Amino acid sequence: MSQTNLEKEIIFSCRQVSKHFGPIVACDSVDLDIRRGEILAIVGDNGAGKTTLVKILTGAMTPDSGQLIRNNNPIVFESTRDAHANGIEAVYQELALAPNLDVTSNIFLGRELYSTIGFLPYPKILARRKMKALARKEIDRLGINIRDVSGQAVGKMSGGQRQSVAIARSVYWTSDILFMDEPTAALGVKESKAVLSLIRKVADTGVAIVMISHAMPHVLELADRIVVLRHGKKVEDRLSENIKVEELVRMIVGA
Amino acid sequence: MSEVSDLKVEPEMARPSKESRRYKIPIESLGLAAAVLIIVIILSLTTDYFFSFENARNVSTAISFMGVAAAIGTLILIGGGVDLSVAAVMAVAGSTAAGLLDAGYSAYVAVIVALFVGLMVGLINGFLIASVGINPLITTIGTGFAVRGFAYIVIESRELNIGNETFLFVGRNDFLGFPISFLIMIACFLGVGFVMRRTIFGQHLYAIGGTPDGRMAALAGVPVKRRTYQMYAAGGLVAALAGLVLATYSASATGNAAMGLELPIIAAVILGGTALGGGRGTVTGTLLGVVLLGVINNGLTLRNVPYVWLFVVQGCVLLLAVVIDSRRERKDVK
Repeated sequence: MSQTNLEKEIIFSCRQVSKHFGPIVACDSVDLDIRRGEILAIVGDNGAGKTTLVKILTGAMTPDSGQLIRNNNPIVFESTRDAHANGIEAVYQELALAPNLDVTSNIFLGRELYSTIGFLPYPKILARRKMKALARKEIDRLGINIRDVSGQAVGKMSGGQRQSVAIARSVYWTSDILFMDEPTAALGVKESKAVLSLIRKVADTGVAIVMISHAMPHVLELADRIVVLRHGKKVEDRLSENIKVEELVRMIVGA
Repeated sequence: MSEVSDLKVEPEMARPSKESRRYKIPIESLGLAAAVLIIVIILSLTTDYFFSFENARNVSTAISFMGVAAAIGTLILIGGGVDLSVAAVMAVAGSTAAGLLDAGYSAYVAVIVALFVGLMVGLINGFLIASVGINPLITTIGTGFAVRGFAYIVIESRELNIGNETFLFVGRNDFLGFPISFLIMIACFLGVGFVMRRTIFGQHLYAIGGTPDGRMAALAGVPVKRRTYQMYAAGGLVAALAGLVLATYSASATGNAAMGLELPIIAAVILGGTALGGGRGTVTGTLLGVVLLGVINNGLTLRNVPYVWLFVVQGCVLLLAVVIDSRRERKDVK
């Protein structure tokens, strides 16, 4: 198991990031560092600002104020595309996949491989066979049990399979950091276990994982470091060693 | 890492060698083909004229302009949109071309300007839907009304006959034994089919139509706004083409050309298995839907059913299509 070593290099940070929705403060001057290959859990009560923070860090939302820093350089994300270009991927709680498309199409969505005819720039013809072979390879590499990577819509698969596909999709494209919003929500015990072991496997390849989760046992089992948000503020940031579930819950509710 | 084994099942199930074939003929297409066949058989047995070369030619010409519009309508519906301005764009394209021909311009100028007008309307639709963020149904009803007005205005509410031989060539001639307008329709179906199945653009439209407002596709990095513009621009352009095919067929242009045709077009698309909510559909199905409506229209005419009954039949077919669509959606959710 990889354990966060505070000596490990910081690859992505935010400083004093804030976001308001009308009178509601979703993020209030949050500082955060992400280190190479660690599993970081962001926990907090409903409305604590976890999803907003992750959306800001993955380019799905722009902050009102504050700074993002990637490999010691200030950076601005206008869209998820910018984040993708910087090796940052996300698995969102909902909308992680297009339910009507198959595994291959989902993995390559927005970044399809294509060929053109002669010197013409268009049409961009999908390289389906190539993408299918690569998708198959990735699914097998991660040990995910899916028989057909093409032809079957992911909407018809089980929750665990869908979550695994969403993770495989992000892992395929990420070089450095993978954000996950509630990776085990709505999954059964057995499926959760499979997804958690998949996450661990991904982290062992050197990808930093940042996950939001309400499932405290999963957080404590998996995370190297835990950050607690309350009312948009970061109130705790420590290694997960020797933390018990009750203690974690106390930190979250602020009792 | 021992937990990973939970992801695996019996080796014979996990074996990846037999991927299911990608393009299966959907059951509803077979059902539709059967419906077409049954109607054809009934009409062949009960009328003298139906099963003749001449009538086949009539039907294939009569469905061509609607087919062109339905082909592009399939693309838009799959992409999570809808274009109800299509019939008005058809009319304004015909009026524009007829007006220019009447003023002495060449057929080429008339065609290019008419297509350009269609493209502009499509871009306005794209702007209102993608940039301003208005619901596509309301947007295209609105632009449809405005454009319908222009269809009357540009030819001063006259009915203009078209005499330009070059322009009428398409409506009057055959190529390899098929009416040219029918071949244009087939080319549109092949073109849209190619785009939807083989290109990145088509792939993106399926993804955008797959979740409400294309939200998931946007998160995945699909340029939803640009695709929406392109989709409606293509819609306007091809609708104008459909209008030109109609004008060469009728050798005239009026402000009320193609009036009310948007609903049968959508009925044909939905009958063909395209989801009203987007994300699923094929042009093959739409072509069958168009043929079905064409054969029904033809049959009603041959059986001397008064023309007004056509509206009743088309309305019922549209409702039937929507009912079938909603049942499919419910089945999908399960």
